Amino acid sequence: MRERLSVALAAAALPLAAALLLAAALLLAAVPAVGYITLVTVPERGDVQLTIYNSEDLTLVQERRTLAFKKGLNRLEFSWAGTKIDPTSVQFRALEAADRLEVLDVTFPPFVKNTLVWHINADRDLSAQAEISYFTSGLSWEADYVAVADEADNAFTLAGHLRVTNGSGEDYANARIRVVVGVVQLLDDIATMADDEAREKAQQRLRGAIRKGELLAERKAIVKEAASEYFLYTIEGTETIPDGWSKRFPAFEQPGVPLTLTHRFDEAKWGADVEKIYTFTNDEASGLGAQPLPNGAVRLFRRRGNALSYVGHQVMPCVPVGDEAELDLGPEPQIQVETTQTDYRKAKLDIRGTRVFGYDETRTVELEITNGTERDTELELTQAFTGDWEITRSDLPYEDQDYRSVTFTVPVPARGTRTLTYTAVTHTGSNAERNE
Amino acid sequence: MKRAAATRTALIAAATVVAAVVVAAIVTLVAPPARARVKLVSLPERATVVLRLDHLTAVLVQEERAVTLQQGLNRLDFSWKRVSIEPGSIQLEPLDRAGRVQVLNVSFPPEENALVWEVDAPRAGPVRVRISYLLKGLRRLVSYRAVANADETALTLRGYLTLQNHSGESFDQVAIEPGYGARFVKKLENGESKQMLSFAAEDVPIEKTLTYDPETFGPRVVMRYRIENTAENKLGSFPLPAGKVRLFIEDTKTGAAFIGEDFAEFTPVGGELELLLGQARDVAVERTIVNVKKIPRLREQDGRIRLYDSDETYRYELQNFRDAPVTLTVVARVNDTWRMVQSSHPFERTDSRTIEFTVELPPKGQTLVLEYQVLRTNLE
Repeated sequence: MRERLSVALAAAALPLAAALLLAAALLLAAVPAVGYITLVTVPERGDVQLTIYNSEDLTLVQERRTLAFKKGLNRLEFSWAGTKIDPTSVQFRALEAADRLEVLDVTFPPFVKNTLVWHINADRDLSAQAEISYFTSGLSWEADYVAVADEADNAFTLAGHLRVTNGSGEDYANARIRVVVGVVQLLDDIATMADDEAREKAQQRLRGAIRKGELLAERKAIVKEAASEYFLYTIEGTETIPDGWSKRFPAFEQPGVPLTLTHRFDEAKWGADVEKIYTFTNDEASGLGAQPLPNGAVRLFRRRGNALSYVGHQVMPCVPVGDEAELDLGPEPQIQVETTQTDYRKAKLDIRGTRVFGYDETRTVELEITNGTERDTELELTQAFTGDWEITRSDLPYEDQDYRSVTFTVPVPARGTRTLTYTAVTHTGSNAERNE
Repeated sequence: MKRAAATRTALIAAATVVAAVVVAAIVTLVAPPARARVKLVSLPERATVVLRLDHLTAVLVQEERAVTLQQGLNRLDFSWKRVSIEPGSIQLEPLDRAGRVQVLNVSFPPEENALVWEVDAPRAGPVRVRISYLLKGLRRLVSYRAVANADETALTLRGYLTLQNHSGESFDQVAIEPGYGARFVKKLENGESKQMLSFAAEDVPIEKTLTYDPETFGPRVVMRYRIENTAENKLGSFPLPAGKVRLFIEDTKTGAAFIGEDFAEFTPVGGELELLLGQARDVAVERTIVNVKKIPRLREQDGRIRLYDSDETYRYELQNFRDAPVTLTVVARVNDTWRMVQSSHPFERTDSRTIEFTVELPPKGQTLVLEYQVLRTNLE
């Protein structure tokens, strides 16, 4: 309760000294000297909505309160000691009777920290709902996932969570929480992101469900929808997150997401280890595809009879709809690659006068792959080269990975061995035709 | 004026009360104090605990507890002190009435090793839940004891798992699942180390080899045992984890004599494990460079050699002082582009720069001469 809103309505004139005394005595010196005060009210914070961005340390807070205005000049005071509010972002907006209320100015009084005062003119006595919005830092959210693969590594159950952390200095009670996926470009546009319609729809669904008796303390559905370049995830209902706490909500759980297990060998990336990779697609066929999957940590388990065994932990980048995601599960020590250079030859020396200007080197490489696992695999084996190189002979077809590497797909039977042999020529010096 | 003052005072008082309520609410959430041990507050002790070690490095703890839930919203507090738990890994999974009992959310209080689950139950009653988390500070070590028979044709291999528990947590009765070999149920206290026999394989065939490979082992003949991790060789049901191997040989007088130790690399199923026993003192090798001659191919105008071939001859005098013949593998390296001109014995080219001769050495100190000549070309 470190943020305080007070309204001073000025209607009748008061002796200046009395007003000063009143302010000093009753507002703990926080309120500047005012000339005309008849009544002060501290309205309840009716409704608060948090829109949390994780690309920046930024949260849009929208509070709604019903305020009583008197005809004439009204003083509305807002203070926020101990919080991380951006003072330049604080906005007042009348949601009702907007044509009868006029914000004349906003003042940051001298000698008083973390306080501002709006002067609002009302053309008659009225009670109206108003929204006060501002940006604060210190609130953040992150996604994380728990994936449980079946024993055959054919499919997994993917459960997504959202974790909201409140380090803003302010306790938020019964707040609606929305989180935004996407990188904020123009900070001024954030205010237009407020999407009342989506929130209303989610509310109606929840109310409908409660009427039907389907829910007691039902899990909060996390409703997602696109907003321009961004995606909004709304946590249904309201939540209380005190300052310093974080809270994690289940966002979705999708069983039977098909996955492909592949093994890769690429010394430039993983050294001598064979890496184990799960691939899945964020699309409808997988039971997903309704929204991008925000970046977050994935903890992977594998079902083993009744229990789970831990497979690994990895940070997954954001997966757009329709895109494929790769989860790197770490090394598979049961698959080993032994590399042997079986032949080396230096030839085609370009000798002019007494100098050697260039030559070719021919290397034959044998890769023996041992698969100690209980399933057949296709190892994606990448070999890197330098200089002007070409493969002149190979046991197996390969694909160019990039300018200086190729990838072979090597089928290796369960508990078996497979050998791949290729010959590569490197043209050096005057024999080289392509640039490094 | 008087009226106004009274209203304000009342309001400030009301605000104070609201603040207190919020604080009270927080206190209620945090209320269960952190215990010295992992504890689910107001719940019975864990029924079963399993330590799963099937990951190469991580230790997964899975414990089951019977929780008595009220109808509607329940709060389960889980806190720990001086126990190395990875907080992000903690999970709660209802086992009974799956799908009916739901975890609504989990809250993490500030600066405390604790969390609070909000769980919804459709009706009151006991529910089994599984809590799992990754535990740090529980180190594991694999070691082997191998006892070869007297004629060194087979050995008994015993694998041991040692757990060093520095996790801060004590386990009264814990099931340990190493992911291979035997499963154990033990008491494992904090600070305790415990060694357990994971598996024992008898009559595992071995091949004893003698190798002279100065680049790898220095100028000496080394003895090695070769073991294959296959079913035909009484192994092969799981990969052999890396660990130290103490090697013994059966001895009718002392039972078993220690003959050396080596570090076994991780050996997948179907893979091969080579254990170094040490130096063979009764097989001697003397290597001589007989001839290294430059053959100029290209000279500078001042006569300096720009490009040349090298004609090289090497000789090995091999002596076996044992009573029986032995097989010795001599490994030699030849760099660059080369070809064998002549060799006294057949050889195998194991890679582009390695040649191996496998020769039978006659017994009782007889000398066998191995000689080869190579031509290395286009040297700069």
